[in-house]
Amino acid sequence: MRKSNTERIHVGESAAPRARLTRRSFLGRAASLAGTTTVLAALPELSPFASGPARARAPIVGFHMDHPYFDPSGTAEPYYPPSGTRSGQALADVAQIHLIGQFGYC
Amino acid sequence: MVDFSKDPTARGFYAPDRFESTVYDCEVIGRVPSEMNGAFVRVGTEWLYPPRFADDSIFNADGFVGLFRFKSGVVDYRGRWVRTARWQNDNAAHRQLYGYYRNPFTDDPSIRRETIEKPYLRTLANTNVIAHAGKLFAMKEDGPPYELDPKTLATKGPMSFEGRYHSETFSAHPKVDPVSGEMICYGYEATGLASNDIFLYSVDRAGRVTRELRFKAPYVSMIHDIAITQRHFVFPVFAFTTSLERLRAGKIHWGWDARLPTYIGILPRDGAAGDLRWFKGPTRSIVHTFNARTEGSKVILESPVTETNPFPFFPADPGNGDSPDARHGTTIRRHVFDLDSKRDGYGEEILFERSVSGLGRIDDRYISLPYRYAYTGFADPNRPFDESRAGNLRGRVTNCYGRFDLRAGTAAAYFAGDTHTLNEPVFVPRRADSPEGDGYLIGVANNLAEMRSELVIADAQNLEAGDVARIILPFRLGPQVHGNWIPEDRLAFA
Amino acid sequence: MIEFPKNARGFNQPMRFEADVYDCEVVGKIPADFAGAYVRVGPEFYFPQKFEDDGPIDGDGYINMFRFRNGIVDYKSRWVKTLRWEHDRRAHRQLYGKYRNPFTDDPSIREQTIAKPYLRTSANTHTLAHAGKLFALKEDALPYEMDPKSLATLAPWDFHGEYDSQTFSAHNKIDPLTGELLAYGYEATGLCTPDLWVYTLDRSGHVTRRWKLTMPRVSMIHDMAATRKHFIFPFGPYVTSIEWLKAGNCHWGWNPGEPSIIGVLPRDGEAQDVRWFKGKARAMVHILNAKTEGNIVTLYAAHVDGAFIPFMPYFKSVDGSPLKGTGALFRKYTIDLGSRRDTYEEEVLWETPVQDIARIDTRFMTLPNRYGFSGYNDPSKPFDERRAGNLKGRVMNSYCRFDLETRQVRSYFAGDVHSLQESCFVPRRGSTAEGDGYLIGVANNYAEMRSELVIADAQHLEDGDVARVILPFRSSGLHGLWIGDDEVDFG
Repeated sequence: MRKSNTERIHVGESAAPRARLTRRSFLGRAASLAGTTTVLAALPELSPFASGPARARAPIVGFHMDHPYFDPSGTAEPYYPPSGTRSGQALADVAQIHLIGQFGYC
Repeated sequence: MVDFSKDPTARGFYAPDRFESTVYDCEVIGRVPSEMNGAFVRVGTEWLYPPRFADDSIFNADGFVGLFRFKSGVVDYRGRWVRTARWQNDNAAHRQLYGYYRNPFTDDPSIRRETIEKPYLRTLANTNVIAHAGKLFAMKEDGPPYELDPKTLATKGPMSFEGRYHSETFSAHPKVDPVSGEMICYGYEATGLASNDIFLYSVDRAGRVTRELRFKAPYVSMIHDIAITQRHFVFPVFAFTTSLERLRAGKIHWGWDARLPTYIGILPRDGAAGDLRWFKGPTRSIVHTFNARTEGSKVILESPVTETNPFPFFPADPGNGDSPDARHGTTIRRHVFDLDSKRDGYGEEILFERSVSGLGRIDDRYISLPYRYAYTGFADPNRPFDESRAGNLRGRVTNCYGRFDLRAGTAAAYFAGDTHTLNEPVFVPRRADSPEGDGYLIGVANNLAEMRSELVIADAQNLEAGDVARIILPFRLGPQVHGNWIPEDRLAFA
Repeated sequence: MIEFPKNARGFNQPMRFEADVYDCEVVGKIPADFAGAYVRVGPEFYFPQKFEDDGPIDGDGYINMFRFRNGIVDYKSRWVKTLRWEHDRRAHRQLYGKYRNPFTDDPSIREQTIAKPYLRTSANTHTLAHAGKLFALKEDALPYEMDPKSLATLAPWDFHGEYDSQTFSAHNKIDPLTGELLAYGYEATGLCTPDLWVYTLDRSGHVTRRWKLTMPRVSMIHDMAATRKHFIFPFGPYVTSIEWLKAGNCHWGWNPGEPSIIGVLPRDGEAQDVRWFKGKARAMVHILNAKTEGNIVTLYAAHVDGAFIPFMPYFKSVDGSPLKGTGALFRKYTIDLGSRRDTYEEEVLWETPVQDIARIDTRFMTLPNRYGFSGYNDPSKPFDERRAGNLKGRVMNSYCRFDLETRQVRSYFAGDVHSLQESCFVPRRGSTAEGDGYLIGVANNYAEMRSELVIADAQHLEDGDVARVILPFRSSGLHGLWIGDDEVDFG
């Protein structure tokens, strides 16, 4: 089941037009900007989590050997992490007096 | 400023980890077996700084070692960076200086000249961590191993074996012969980037190099793992390849080439380089081996094998891709090499139809000997998986450990849980003299819903019964490649 | 087998780890004038509490710091390895009983801890920097000296042998004009003693004056205030006695029939000059600030009505009546030293409940000041329950800057899956005006199950983050301080 996800992927300040991805274009951009992952600046709309009709071969995040990986070909099965851990839920049923009594300032 | 926001894989459970930690008296559910005295040590990958290229491999991330120290039912954990030269350079520069996996031509200009000339300076020591001759060391196949202090996990430095080890590279899979106690290790690309030189060594119980052999392979390839029998070495050469031309073009080190046949080198253990014999077979990926044995004139190898490219981050160049007829998935297969045969072909048999993980182990006391059990993880889509809490990964995560009985052809399974993925299992003998398979199967499970990792301990002879104990860590661990159980008498642990 | 209470799950599952992060992930830009560290101390159980009705206030000491230097921030966290921690480590189990009650300790240690209750300290409440040293504090013992570079635990510190109270405080004050440390310890001579010993120490940590007071009743003076002219010791009707402890209770009981008391001691006076003022029973725990203007002493604090709740649900009523308490409200207490009355006046300044751990720009400690900073729940802000869990309206999602004069409120919102721990004001380098600087604090991110240090402009809270440090795990702390590189050598 496709999940909609409100996560925003920051793709950098660049307003560069979406370029067709090749390994050379990765290298060219990366060589000109030191130190950070710059590839995605060439992909203004990298959004593996967007809903809507599938685009032709936009890169996605796949999953392999129990770990996510970046698939520039866009052909792998996408991985959608859960939209949040809901880690506050464990306290939802705890009375307020105990919420702050047991867990202090939260 | 350290910014991983442009790395779309670094989210949720897989958000950057990048921290060293110590846990005293880990939380335990169940009871840790009192016979387990020693440590489970694991190594994996963790980006100190974000990768320069989004499509780089996770194998290019910095080495990070974790050690679970077991003593009288108490477990302490510590995790530390392997402070390779590379880690130290990035740490000092406060940014990522290194380019693609094993391609120094893509490094930052400030270091590139040196790393092209000495590619072994780029090693991350992130693939395996073992003990031999009283030392603990982490390694990667592209450079020397790094020694670690077994008490503190402080990095001591690269190992040189008293100057008697001449390959620039080492291996992530040396084999310790349980009979002789020697460590068989080797390095491919031994004389530089894309060189077709393989140097093989024997290192005795005391850590001294006693033997060296030099040979070449039919093509430059990733000889990630080997096998040994009491009488032979076994070297798988398979369809990943590289060249200086490819590296100068700025590509990631390996390209998959499905046109390349598989070559298996068989060399007598007491032979010379000229005695090496290459068998040839259809395209396969044999990244890891389970074990091998020699029976008469036959050498028998069992491994988890794929017919297609196992690593999507080492893609094929156009035209070199997998055949549409190739079977997908990893299966446990047996290859039989008849040394009496005049032909260079060999037999292949699929032993179990189930698709398994490519990371598998045996009871290491049986390396090179006849054995019965192979242990590996697998994804069982028929087990419960809570997608709402763990993501759309039903059937895609390793959620079980299997014990594959190679004699009876049967399998037993341990299930980790409905929001869990499992790393490589390790077999721990109950006692040093217990029979094969009598002991525990342990490994790290990632609990994707609770954002923490858990070390599971199961009875290797009763996997279906579930946990004997489970150690609950209060945080996520980063990705793991390999790990090992090291008994207390082998290393001076804390 | 080590098993924690069943409700310690989700975000609040046990933490109990030491960590180092080199070069933390940052969103935004760390202000260039951040040179020093934000150090926090709080409770964290190493082994599960021995008794179900013991509270988190009894957890082991846990210290952590965000170390800022040249626009880069590193994070470090360590146990405060008190004698208590070391004993538990060797035994591999919890030996210590209820909060500050040695009668409930394991038999193997009980005799010693009854005779010397300060040996039980967990140093788990606050931090302090003075005379170049860094400390972890709890009011039941001397401060523990910590190594500021490594956060290794050194030893309890008795100020060159000159500090003779058995106990210290978690809320000592540094006089911003003189650099003196204004310190005190109640139950100074042993369990349940009414001795309140007060000290001033000079910049190099030597005792310059001491006062030995007897309290009208043994009670918890958790926090104090000071003005240019007076020490101020407020306490509510938390009570204790040896019989109460022998009956197996947590250290404090609550006596609703007793009044609250505010003690006022002239800084240039003698012990017998102390005056005790009475008022309505309420848990007076933390204090914002105080000032003396002529004969009028004014105290500002965020106090609850009734018994205090955070961390202390198990301090039972001595008469068995149910504990009652509300959220803390900013209040003003006025004491007229010129009158013969032994009562004080109180006024609520803002009807919105806030975290009682409200803070000020500490350069204005003892002086007339204008702003109180605290956390509160702003119900107009969104909370994404789908991602964070059903805690909407129940967690502190915002920091306020409350103007004690005009009662105006400015507000910083942490985010729609976040709650905030204690705030801390960091002066802008070279500034002198009150509140000219940054407001920082650690936020809990319930969706990503991690903590984040937020940095906002204290004069423009509505603008949101200046920067945010993203940790790869959760981090807790009770109280913290910004400590500059000029105060302590962080290396």
